[in-house]
Amino acid sequence: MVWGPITAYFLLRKNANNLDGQRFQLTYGTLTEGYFTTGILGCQATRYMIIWFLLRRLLTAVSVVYLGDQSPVWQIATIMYLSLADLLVNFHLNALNSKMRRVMSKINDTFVFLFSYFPFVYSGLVLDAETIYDIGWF
Amino acid sequence: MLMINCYLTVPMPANVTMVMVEINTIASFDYLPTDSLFEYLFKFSKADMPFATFQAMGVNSLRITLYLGTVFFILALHLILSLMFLISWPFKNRFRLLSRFHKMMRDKLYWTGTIRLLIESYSDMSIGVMLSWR
Repeated sequence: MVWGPITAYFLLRKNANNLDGQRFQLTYGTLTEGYFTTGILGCQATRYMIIWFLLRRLLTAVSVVYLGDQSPVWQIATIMYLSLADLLVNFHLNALNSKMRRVMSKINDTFVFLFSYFPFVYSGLVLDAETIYDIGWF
Repeated sequence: MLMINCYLTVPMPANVTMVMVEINTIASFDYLPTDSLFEYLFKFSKADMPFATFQAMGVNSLRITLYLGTVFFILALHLILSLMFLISWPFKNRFRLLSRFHKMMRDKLYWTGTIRLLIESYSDMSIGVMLSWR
C-alpha cells in the first residue's frame, strides 16, 4: 500500500516526457486516463494529482483505523482537512483533460468537503435522539 | 470517499447506517454473496472484532480476506491467471489458443487491468490491510 504512491511517482517521473507515447499508453494508460499527458505543466500536474489521489486514500485509512480509539473529533478533523486539501489540490492543479471532467470533479470535491462536516452533528453536538434521526435523512 | 464517514467512531442513527450499508456495497464492488462463499470455501479461526462502526457496516472480522469480499476473489483470479500465463509461456507459439490467451493478458492485464484494479480498490485495500495489522 505504501509502495503504491512511491512506485507511481517514480514511474510517472521516469516517463514524464513520454506520457502520451503509444508504448506508455498501451502499458500504463489507465494510470493517466482522463488527465493531461502533454506539456511540462500537464505532466507535472498529472503526476502530483495521481500521487495525491493515492496518498489521500492512504492517510484516510490511517485516520479511520488508527484514530478509531481516540476522540472522534480527531478523525472528523483529519477527514475534513484531507477533503479541504483534496479540493485545493484539484482547483490548483486542474489536471483533468476535459472541461466536463474538471467541472464534475470540482463539484464532487466540494460536496465531499461540505459533507465532511456532518459527522460533527453526531459527535455529541446534538443530544436529542429524534433530531439526530431527522438530520440523518439529509 | 463519502463512505469513509460511516467508518468514523461516531454513533450514526439507524437510517444513515441502513442507507450507507447499501451504498457501500456498490461503492466497494462487493457484488458477490461473499459471506456465504467464504463460509463454504474456507474455515477461519476466531479473530478480534473491529470497532462498533465497522460492525454496523457489516464488517465482522479484522481479516483482510473477509473485508475485501469480491475484490479478494478478483485478486485471486488475477493470481491464477498470472500463474497460467507463466506456466504456458514456453508453449505460447505452439498453440493458437495459448497465443490468444497471452495476447489478451498482455493487452488487458499487464498492466492496464492491474493498475485499474489497484486504483479502484486502493481505499478498501488500505483500510483492509491496516485493519488486519491492528
